[in-house]
Formats: sequence, structure tokens, C-alpha cells
Amino acid sequence: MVITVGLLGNPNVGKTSLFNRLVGARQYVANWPGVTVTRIEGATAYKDYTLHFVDLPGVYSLTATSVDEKLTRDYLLFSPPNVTVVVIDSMSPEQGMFLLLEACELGLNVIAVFNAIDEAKKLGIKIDKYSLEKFLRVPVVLTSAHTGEGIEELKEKIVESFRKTTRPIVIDYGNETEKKIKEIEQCVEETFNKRFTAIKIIEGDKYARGFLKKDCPNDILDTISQEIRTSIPLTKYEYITNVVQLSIQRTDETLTVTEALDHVLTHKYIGIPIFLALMYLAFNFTFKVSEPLVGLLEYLFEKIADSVGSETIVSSLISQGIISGVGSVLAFVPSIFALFFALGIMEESGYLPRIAFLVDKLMYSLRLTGRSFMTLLLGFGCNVSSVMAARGLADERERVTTILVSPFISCSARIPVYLLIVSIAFPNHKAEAFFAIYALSLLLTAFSSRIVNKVILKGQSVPLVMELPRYRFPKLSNVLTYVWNRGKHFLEKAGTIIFAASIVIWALTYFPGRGNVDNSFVSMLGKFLQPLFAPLGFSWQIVSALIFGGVAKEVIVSSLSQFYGNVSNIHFDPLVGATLMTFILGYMPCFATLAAIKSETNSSKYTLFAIFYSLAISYLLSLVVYTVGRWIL
Amino acid sequence: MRSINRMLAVMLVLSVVTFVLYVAEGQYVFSLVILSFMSVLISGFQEFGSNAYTFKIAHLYVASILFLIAAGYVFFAFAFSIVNILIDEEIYKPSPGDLMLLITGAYSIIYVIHLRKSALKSNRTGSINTDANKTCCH
Repeated sequence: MVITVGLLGNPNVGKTSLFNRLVGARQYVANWPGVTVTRIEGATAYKDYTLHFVDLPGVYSLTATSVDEKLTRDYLLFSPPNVTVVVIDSMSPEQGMFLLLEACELGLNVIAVFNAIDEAKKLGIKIDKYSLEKFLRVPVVLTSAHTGEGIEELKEKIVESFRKTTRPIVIDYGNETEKKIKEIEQCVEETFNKRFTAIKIIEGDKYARGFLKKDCPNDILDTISQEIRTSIPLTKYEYITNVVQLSIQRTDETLTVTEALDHVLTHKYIGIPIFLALMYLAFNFTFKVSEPLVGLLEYLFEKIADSVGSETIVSSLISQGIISGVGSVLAFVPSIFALFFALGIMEESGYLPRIAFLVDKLMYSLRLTGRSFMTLLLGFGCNVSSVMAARGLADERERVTTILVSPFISCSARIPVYLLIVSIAFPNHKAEAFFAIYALSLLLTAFSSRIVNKVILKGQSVPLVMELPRYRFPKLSNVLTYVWNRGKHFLEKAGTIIFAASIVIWALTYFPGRGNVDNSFVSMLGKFLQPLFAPLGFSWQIVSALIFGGVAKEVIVSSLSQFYGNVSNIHFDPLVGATLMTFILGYMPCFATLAAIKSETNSSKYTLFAIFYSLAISYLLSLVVYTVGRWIL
Repeated sequence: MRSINRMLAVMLVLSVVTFVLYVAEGQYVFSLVILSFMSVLISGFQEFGSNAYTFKIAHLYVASILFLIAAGYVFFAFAFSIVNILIDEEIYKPSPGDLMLLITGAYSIIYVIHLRKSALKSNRTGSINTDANKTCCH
């Protein structure tokens, strides 16, 4: 028998970690709110049952505003699970308990899970679960997704709750409010829980108001006083405060580790320099740690290609097309994994959300918020992820702006291209050049946000309200999962798109000159378009590589490797290198990102804007870099 | 109060030496990184008022972690460069600045452990009572 179990909770309370622990999955988890923006499902067998878990995007209340919140609300309203597990943060349970009370009001079959109990123990927080069960009238389980504590008990409670539904608490809001609730209940259509709908109508939920009968008195909403409206959350929080006081005991705190770290890392003067220094270290780490491994892989691929030779068509296809083409890209795998390892540690430790806090003032001047910044940071892995994650932004203008500027964030596909260029053009200042292009990436994103908000989507940002997670020592398994989730995308592309593209490029490079690149189709194409790029100092090889790079940016590396014979034969001067990196930073999102923009905005206009704006801005910016560079040098 | 000032001063001296060595080696960008970490220690001396002591601890704790990260980076750069032997390339040779940073990092470990155990100890004590039979809060 299948039991469907919904995992509900505030953002960043560990729902996905719990989900991974329950079903043995490896879904992406992070130490900041808003990571899960879509429904994730997985199942596990327990006793005679199949427990089918549904991990829902985090919400603070069942009154939804953003796309991901609506997804959670609609799931609970229209296809309620057999059991709903409300995940609550053990260290700050108030907001989670508020959501729990709402779930009870909706009539869901609820289990309260107080997660991160291991961290609560470290902080000296004492939780009396039987007292909580007594007051909340729902089963309570204390768990730790980190250590696995309470997981088996949770599965047992799920089965028990499925067999015997509990009667959750009904909050009494006082005579006047209760009278109004009863009155509105009479006017609500027969859908889901009438009391829940009436309460939401009183709170001002526009969606719930759509369930009012057409024949109900016109003045029914006008008679809801401000006192009645505020009495609902006030009564709930009053009740929660009492329960917390009676069931949870906190020790005296002077200065916690999080407070100590925040006092310095979010300092108004030294916070930003520390962030820049740490980012520089992360990029330096990427080079210094991966350089020997990249060298080793390049050496191995070159040796294998040499041993195959290139005398016949078949041997040329294997050595030049496949080994050199795909191998030149694969050689950068250690660098990509090293960068994500560094970023993973920053994210897992809880430091990244602080950056959102630090840059919020700047983002607000661009009519975005720090929350957009967090969404954009996902683009360092893949731009498709940040386009999708923009669902979590409640403000539609901010959501569309974030989607349109996402392609300017340097995704992992661009890393091998940058790494190749900096190692050729800036052999003594690799980390500095790499850091500079990432800084330019953020500046271009900021500038484009301003343009988009000035020209296309006018309006002001809503202020950032964000719950900062606690700092924690990065768990190696979580960091490695983060690295793998980001890096595997690159490996998958190497085995599919890059492999196929390498063969096509080989064919266009080999024919009709039978291996003579200067007399190949690719050379004809490059030479034909080269005058367009002459002001940027690009050779025909670079122009051809950029055309193939439209499919996926990594293909640029594969193309250049084949045009020049192998990676070690490629030469750029620093000025062309800098211009080329600037052009690659902005020029045209890849096909997957364009498809995501189209589906998320449902607009051809915005998709075309993403193509033409990025091409225009990258050309102009590259022209500035090349012209100014020539003038200086 | 005097001991925390002394600890801050020791760390500051070590970081200044590291900074000067990197400048002398011409590693200007990396010396800026060290300078920004040094600023954490310097701003620690600027804490006044009733909470000055705890905030000075915060500055020392964070600066120690930052220097530990920087030293860790140098250590891993050296460790991974051993792979270079396989392709007849040179192993990364730590510069005097790197060696000084490693010493500062090693010293930072002592502070991180010490402060975590003692100065930031108050929020980490107490046993947990999750047993309902022992009434928690009534």
C-alpha cells in the first residue's frame, strides 16, 4: 500500500536534507532559503508500505504570493497527501509552528518534526516532545537529517498516522472573530476546508476570496474590522509563545558562534573586502590545486592522440576529432570541480546568504534585492538553474529581470573557455584574470538589471526580508554532493553535445582539404565572417569557434583545439585574450538557457531580447576593451 | 581584557610580517588579501563599550579562521603540486611569505580551538533533556 507524505516547512529548515535521508536521494541542498522551487518526489519501502515522499518548496504561510509558494499551496489544497510532515527548525521553532497551525486548520493529517535536533543539543536547547504533543495534539518527532536521529521513528509515526488520523488542535480566536468565521463559512463554496477558507478570507487572501459564493452579502468583506483581521495571527503567535515557553528551554546565551562571525563578516566596512578576498582565494585555489591535475590530463590525452596518429581519415577522426576535441574540454574537469568545491564550502557554511545581505543595498539601487543575488549565484553552475530558481521571487518584475540577466552570470560551461584563454594569454596572472572576468560578469549583470528596469520593466523593488541561516561547519558529504550536482552536468555534456559537436567540427575542418585546415569549410566560414569581428582583433579561427560555441560554450575549446592541432599550439596575445573573454561573457545564451527563458517567461519577446541584447552588449563591451587596450599598450 | 588585547596583538604582528613578505615578493594582489584579513584584527582594537571584550573575541576568532583558510590554501597548493612529478614538472616551492602564512595559520588553529572551547563556550553547555518523563519546563 502506498502512503503519500508531503514535506512542508519554512524555507531552509532542512526539508530536502530530510527527504534525501528518508529516500536515500541526493537532491541539491544548501544552507540558504529558497533552494527548492519545484516539487521533488521519491519513495522508500517501510514494513508493508511504500512511503511516497513529496518535498515541497518552503513557505512561511499558506497564503501564497510567489510561483513556488502557490505550488505548495495548490498541492495541499487540491491533492492533499495522506500524511503531511511539517518540518520545524528546532532552534527557532515559532515560524514553523505557525505553519503547523495553518496545516491543522486545513484539516491535514499532520506530524510535527523538529529538525536539526543535533544542533539544538549543541546549543543547550531542551525540547520536551511529549509536552509539545500534549499542546499541539499532533505526533511530534525530533529528527536530525544530519545524523539520521529520529528517522526510523518518523517512518513509524507516518504509518501510525495513516492508520489512525489524529484530531489536531482548533484555535479559538475569541467570540467576535469566531462569529465572523462562522458567518463567512456560510458564504464559502463547497471546496476544501470551509473554516480554513473563511480564516484566509478574513486575513485578506485574494485567492481564498475567489471561493466566496456569488449570492453572499456584498458587505461581508467590508464588515471585517482590522481588529478581527489581526486577531488571527496574534492569537496563533500567542498560543505558540505559550507552548514554546512550556515545552522548549533555552540556555542563557552571551555570544554565539554565529553572532561572533556575523559581527565581523557582515560588518559595514570590512564585510565586502573580506568577501572579495575570499572569492579571490577561491579562484586562486581553483588554479593552484587543479593545475597539476589539468596538466596531467592534457599530457595523457596528447599521448593517446599521438599514439593513434592522423594518417588516415579514421585515425584523424579518432585522434583529432574525438580525443583532442573532447579531451581538451575534459582536461578542465579538475578545475571545475575545484571551483565548485570552494563555492560549495562557502554555501554549505552559510556564508553565501550573508553576501546577499551585504550587497542588498547595491542590489536595491538596481531595483533588485539580495534574494535575486542568491538566485543569480545559482547561475555559476548553470544559467538554466538560475532561470528556474527565479520562481522563488514573489515580485513578478524582479523575477523577469532576474531571468533576463541570468545569462550574464558565468556558468560552468564558460569555465574551461576562460581557463584555456587565461593560461595562454595571461600565464603569470591566471587567478587575477579569472577573478577579473567573474567581477566583470557581476558588473555586467548589475548594469543589465538597471537597463532592463529602466527600459522594459519599470518599478521599484520590494525590500529584502530574508532569514539568515546559522553558520555551520561544512559537511564534506554535502559539499561533495554540491560539487557532483554541478559538475556532472559538465560531464554529461562532454559525452553528448560536445562529443557530437567535436565530430561535426572535425568533418568541417577535415574537408574538403583532407586535413589542411586552411582549405576547410570551417576556414571558409570563419574567413567570410571575420571582417565583422576584425574591429575586435579576432582571427578566423576564433570567429569559427564562437559560432560553434553557440550550441554550448565548451565547444569553443574543442573547436580551437582542432583548428590549431592541439591545445598547446594555440596562441593569443593578452589583448585579444581579454577581448575574447569579454565577448564570451555576454554573447548569446546557450540553447538550453533560451528554452528555459521562453518557458519561464512564456514570451518570445523576452527570449529575443535575451539573444539580441546579449550579442549587442558583448560586442560593444569587447570593442571598448580592445580599443582602450590598444590605446594603453 | 588585557589577555585578549595581547592575543590580538600577537596575531596582528604575525599578519603584518606575512603582509610585508608578500609585498616584498611582488605578490601584490595576495598581499591585499592578507591586508583585508588584517583589517579584521585592526578593527578588533576599535571595539569599545560594555561588550568590547566579547566583540574583540569575535574579531580574533574570525581573523584566526580567515588566516587558517589562507594557510590551508597554500598547503593544498603545495600538496597537489606533488602530482607534477608524474609529468616532469616542478613541485610548488613555498615562498618565505607562504611559510610565514603557514606559521600564522598554525598559530590560528590554537586560537580557533581555544576560543571555541572557552570564550564561546557559554552557548554550548548543558545536557539535553528530550525525555518526557523528566519534565522540562513546567
